[in-house]
Amino acid sequence: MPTGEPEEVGALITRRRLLSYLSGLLSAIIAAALAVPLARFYVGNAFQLKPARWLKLGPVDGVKPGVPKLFRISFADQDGWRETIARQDVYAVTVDGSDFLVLSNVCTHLGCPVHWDDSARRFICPCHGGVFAVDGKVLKGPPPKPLTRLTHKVEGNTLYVQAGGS
Amino acid sequence: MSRDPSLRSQDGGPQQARTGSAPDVFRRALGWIDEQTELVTFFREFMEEPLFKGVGWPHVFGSAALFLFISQACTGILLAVYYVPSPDGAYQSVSYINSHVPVGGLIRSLHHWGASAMLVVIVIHMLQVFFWGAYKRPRQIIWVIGVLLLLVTLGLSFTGYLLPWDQKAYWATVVGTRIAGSLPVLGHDITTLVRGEQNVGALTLTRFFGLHILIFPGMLAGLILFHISQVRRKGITAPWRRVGEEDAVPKTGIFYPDQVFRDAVISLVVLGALFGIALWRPAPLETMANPASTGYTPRPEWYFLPNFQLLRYFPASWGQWGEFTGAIVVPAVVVLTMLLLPYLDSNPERRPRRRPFVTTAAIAGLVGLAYLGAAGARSGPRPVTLSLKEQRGEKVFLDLRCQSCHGINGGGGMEGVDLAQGVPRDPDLVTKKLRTPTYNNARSVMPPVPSILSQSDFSNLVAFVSAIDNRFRMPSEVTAVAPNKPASHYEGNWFANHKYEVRKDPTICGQCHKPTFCQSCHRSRLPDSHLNGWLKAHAGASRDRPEYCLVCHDQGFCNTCHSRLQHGSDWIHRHASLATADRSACLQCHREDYCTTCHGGATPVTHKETDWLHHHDKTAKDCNVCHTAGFCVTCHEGARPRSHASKDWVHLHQSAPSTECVVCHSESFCSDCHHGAKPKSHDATWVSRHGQVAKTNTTQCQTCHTGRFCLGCHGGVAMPHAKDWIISHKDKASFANGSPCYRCHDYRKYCSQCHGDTPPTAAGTDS
Repeated sequence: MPTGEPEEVGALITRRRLLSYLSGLLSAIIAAALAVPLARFYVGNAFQLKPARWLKLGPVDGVKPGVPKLFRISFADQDGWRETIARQDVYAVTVDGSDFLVLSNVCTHLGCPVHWDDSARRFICPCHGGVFAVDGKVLKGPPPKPLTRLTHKVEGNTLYVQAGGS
Repeated sequence: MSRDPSLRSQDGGPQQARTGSAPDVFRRALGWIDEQTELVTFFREFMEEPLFKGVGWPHVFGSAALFLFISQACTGILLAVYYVPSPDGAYQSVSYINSHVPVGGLIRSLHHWGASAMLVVIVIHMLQVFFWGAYKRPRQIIWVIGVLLLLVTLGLSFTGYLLPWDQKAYWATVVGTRIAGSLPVLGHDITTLVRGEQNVGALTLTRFFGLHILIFPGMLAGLILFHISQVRRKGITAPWRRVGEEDAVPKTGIFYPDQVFRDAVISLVVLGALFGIALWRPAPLETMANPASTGYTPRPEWYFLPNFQLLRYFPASWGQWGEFTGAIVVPAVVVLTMLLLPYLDSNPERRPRRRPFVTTAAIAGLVGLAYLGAAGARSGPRPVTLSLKEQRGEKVFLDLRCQSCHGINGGGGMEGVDLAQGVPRDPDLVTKKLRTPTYNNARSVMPPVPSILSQSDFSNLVAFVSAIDNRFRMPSEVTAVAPNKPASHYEGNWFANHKYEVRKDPTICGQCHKPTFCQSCHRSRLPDSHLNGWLKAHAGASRDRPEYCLVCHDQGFCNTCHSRLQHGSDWIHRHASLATADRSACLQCHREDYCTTCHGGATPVTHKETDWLHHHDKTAKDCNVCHTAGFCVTCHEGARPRSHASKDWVHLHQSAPSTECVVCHSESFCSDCHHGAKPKSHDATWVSRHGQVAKTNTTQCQTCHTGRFCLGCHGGVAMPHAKDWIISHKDKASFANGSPCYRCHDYRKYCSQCHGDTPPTAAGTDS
């Protein structure tokens, strides 16, 4: 501020500085009041896990020891604002008829659907030649991990698999 | 733009201080940007705009409108992240924003109320400009741009109104776009052009979406920039000075921070008010748009109410011309007058009192608009006032979830009849329908009112249903029935088509619904598959695809019939007692008249053959399925089966298979004749007694014996003895030992009466 200015000019400048600070403060409040809910709105449910739930596969009697049985499950799924019908194939495996494994049919390499080759007694991935043992372990090919073992339970005579939660 | 050097020097201090306090890197970066673009200089000059003395709080509304535009742009862009502009997804995505996206309801409400607030603030801004006389030379074009901004904002409001695709949006758009149809000659074509098709539909939605998020905002942004640049070039009007006398007014203020502070305050107030109203009254969302709904009464948004009301004042005799005048001519004249105002009003005075004509006309116009708006708001159908009894009935109605199927004036479900439209109001008929929904429609799916409902609740419900009419509105909290339903369930033909979806994938329904859900409708209306011949078919169907049964039935459902009512081999004998004890169990499968196929005189198909009576013995082995052993005796007491008609049946019958005998005869039948191998009558004393029987009932003997049988014992003597036997017997009878006469006669009791105590010698006799 130039020296020697009248007192009221000095007071005016002081007032303006105050107003500029207040303007900045109010603008920041307005921006924050809009930006915070908008940012939360934009993030939405992107990181929200879908609730876990149990889906019925079928009677355990149908799963013969040493022979993976294919179950094709369909269930209502929430895809954003859409209710969709999701379908998924899983293999149920048992060795002794009492302990079960439920394996996803999604190859751990690049996600192709594997299928059980009864003559070779292997899970075969048609895309890049991945081969899995009956318990899902990698025997050959590029898959880095065994087939995903899905959480499951047996109630009464019925086998259930857990969907969602991840 | 003219500048006051004194103000520049005054502001130089703080500006210098600000730049001096900035870090070197930041200052050098700004310097580089300014060197390249001159943006910093432009911005600095923009902010340092000097203002006439007297410019202050009344001049904040333009900035408030700009702030609202920015706020609408921010919330609108973010809403577009989730919104889907199609009839299949619009309502669902808006509903998803409301109920699933964090703060989604708040953002949508800010956008919804922000549109109204923007119009309010623009009107206030225009009133301020008008009464301050700021539209006069040299700022006429700024006013004209302002009027265009108002029109574009109204266009944004109108196009945005349709986007939620709920009933209110849809029907308001139907009516709004039809207004253009009142234009002579080209009206229909213009309406079609606005809609993108003949009716409001998918193409209207995408068209309005494009207008709302791209075309109108672009136009608005361009006009705003032009508007502001013109304001900057010509300056904010010095208050209350005549045209051409502004130069004498000193410029004592600076845009930043003097006016910016005021703008920030008003923006914060506006934002606070928006948050307040958004939290207090969230943006409404009615049920999904239903073009087939005939009961919905569309109402315009508040800012179209004056025009809505104006249309009512034109007599019906004017026909289309009345609508054309009210909907197009009058608004067009008003808009044209507003556009030309700066050029029509050549009075250099700015003070309202010194230009009484224009001021009075404007005030009259405002009062007229307010009156029309208020009258329009009141002119809608007054809501039904429910009595206490009817209010209680309304609660019962909602508790029973009747609104899931029955909408009222478009609110609620669409499966049942809209209760506001075409439903009998006679309480007796309402009672009858509620108690017995099938009384006027045998295939009605409506469940009867639960029997546990108290009589008072029932009468309240009847009173409510009888009271509602097309003025009644559903309570707002229940308008959205099951908002999380899948998209398919909102399709207009879902009610008819759901059976096909079930057939495609019978397991899918069970993901959300329990089997009992189906029964809520199907207990009174069997699925189509269950109508004809289902009883025969159901065994195979349930064996092949049990998952289909499990859609609607629990696992234990089969046992309700099959545990005790299994129609096995012995069922014909057991069915009478069960049918007597629980006839309703039979009626689950059989019609009332089913029993008469056996019990009412009707006969099985085989029995209807004309010669059945003559050959029924051929299939006699199946008779005991229906008939007991005693049944045959009703006919065969005297008549005999054909096999029995043979003369030697008595001799042959022993070789007949015993399994066939029991068809007609009970086990005791044989013992009626047989005592061991012989008939029961032929006991140890039979030989001595049989003569008497043979004399009195010869035919009975002939049942088993022929006439020659007697000769086996009686030698050549025919039995019974001939009338002259007493004379002729001396030639045939013999006293010798072993004589056949002794088989019946004892000498001492019988012969001795004539021949003495000692039998004659064989010789003497012979003689």
